[in-house]
Amino acid sequence: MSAKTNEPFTEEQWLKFVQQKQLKFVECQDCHKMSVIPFAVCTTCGSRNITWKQASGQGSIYTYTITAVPPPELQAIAPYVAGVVELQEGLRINGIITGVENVNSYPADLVGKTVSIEFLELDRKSILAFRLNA
Amino acid sequence: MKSELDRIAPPLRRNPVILGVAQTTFTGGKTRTRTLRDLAGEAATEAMMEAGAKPEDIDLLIVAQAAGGIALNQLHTAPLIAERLGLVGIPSLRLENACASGSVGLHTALTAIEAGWADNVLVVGTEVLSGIPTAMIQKMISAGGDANYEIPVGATFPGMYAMFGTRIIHEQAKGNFKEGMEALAHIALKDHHNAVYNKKAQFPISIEELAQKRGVNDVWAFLNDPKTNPVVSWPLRLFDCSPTTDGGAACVVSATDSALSFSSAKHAIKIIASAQTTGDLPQCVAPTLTSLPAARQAAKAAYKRAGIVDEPAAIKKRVKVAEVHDCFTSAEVLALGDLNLFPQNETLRAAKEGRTAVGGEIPINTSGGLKAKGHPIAATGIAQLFTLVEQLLGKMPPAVQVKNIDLALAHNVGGTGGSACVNILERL
Ligand SMILES: [Zn+2]
Repeated sequence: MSAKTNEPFTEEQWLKFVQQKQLKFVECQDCHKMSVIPFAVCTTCGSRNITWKQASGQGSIYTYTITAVPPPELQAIAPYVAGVVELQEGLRINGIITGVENVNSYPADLVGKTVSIEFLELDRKSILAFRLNA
Repeated sequence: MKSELDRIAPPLRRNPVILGVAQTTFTGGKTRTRTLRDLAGEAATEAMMEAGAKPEDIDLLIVAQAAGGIALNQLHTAPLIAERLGLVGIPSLRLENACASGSVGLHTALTAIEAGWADNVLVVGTEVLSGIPTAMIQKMISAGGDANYEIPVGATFPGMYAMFGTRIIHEQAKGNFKEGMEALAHIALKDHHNAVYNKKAQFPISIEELAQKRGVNDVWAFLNDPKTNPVVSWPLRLFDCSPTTDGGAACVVSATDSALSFSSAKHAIKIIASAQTTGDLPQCVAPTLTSLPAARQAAKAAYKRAGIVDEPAAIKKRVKVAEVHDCFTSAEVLALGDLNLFPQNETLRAAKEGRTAVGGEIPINTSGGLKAKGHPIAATGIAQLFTLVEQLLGKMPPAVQVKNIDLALAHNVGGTGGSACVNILERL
């Protein structure tokens, strides 16, 4: 059993990690199922042999959008690029994409471009983001 | 363990029928004219009259309602609406599966009928979104997404459908946004053409006429001008998005062996397949973003239950008209592939080439769709049935009436594919 009592396999803990500027996922040590949505019992094989893993933070843009009409909490950074990133581990995760030039003039297709993890700080909250690699 | 087919589109042993179905006019704007209860009452009264049903005939009331809790501070909507309809004293429930609530309501009605607990079920969808501040509307619409994995990282609801659009354009148009966005605009143009004939639509007007009213004769100039068609979430622009809508819709569903079916109905429409299933939430976890796997799975099961070969030509030989979930134009592209009406890599092209217009290979959204008819979230699934029943009974205006219909299909999605329903109807 690799479960540490101070890091339970909960969504609340995943959110805590993000606030600590860490992207983690769970992995089943028996069947190696990985998931960004944590579980304490493997949803594939039923094993309780679960561990938290740190994501490499490297990946590529699977899809994205440039949001001109933001929610009130993100007004400060609008227009912004929101995307789904495919991590090197094979998992996908939503995040803000930073480092895109000329957002207002809608640049050419960014799908497949590589990115590296970073965290934005907004209203004292940490937000998962990925920076377009130079 | 049950088979996938028996779990998603179970056998309909009591041969359920829709005895009556109705929808209110769909409206929008800043001023509210009707409440949840008014809209539900109006639609349900008409559906019950059509079915020849008196309150004592109804064994179960199902209310589909999505936004009331957030937008109107109103929960417990089932008794609220029962009161209006003289249905106090029977079981009732309210359910919410985002934009698929109406169809999930129908599917749930069928479970009660098949279990023998009910002979006749009234399903009512009702939604009020006018007179609510924009920030609240945004918050409410986002509530169908994932509050921890999507919303904090800027994935708005239009944004998530824009991300489907981007990936589709990447795969089908080699990332050529100009070409892809033009194909998407063709869907909006087609929907508005159909809505012109729909007296109950929120926007019964073509985009060409809208442009002319603003002094622009070239509709493509109008659609490509960021002042008249601004980006909401790239690559989706204003005319790619369905509006916020007030509306109600209702239907009476009965077992063919029920006394009501024998006695009073003027016409009955048979439900030959009802499929409901669940997909990934958040969106990013889904195996693909050029298809909604739950919708594909529901379609497969519905076809199998209806005895239709799951292959584009075979489907279109039987299914002659469909209402699909086009909350955004990109959603209609997803639907064309998930229903297997066109090969997955041809869906953008099919939309652009008019193959889904009235007179085309398979007319899609002859009502105007969510885009032009309006999208009162929880009422949408039942309103789709209203249009299809009108089609099957030959009651649509001639310009949008499809001829020689065998079967009609409804495709209704909740959120970004977390919920999906496909229903297939047949005239008795
Ligand atoms: Zn496992």
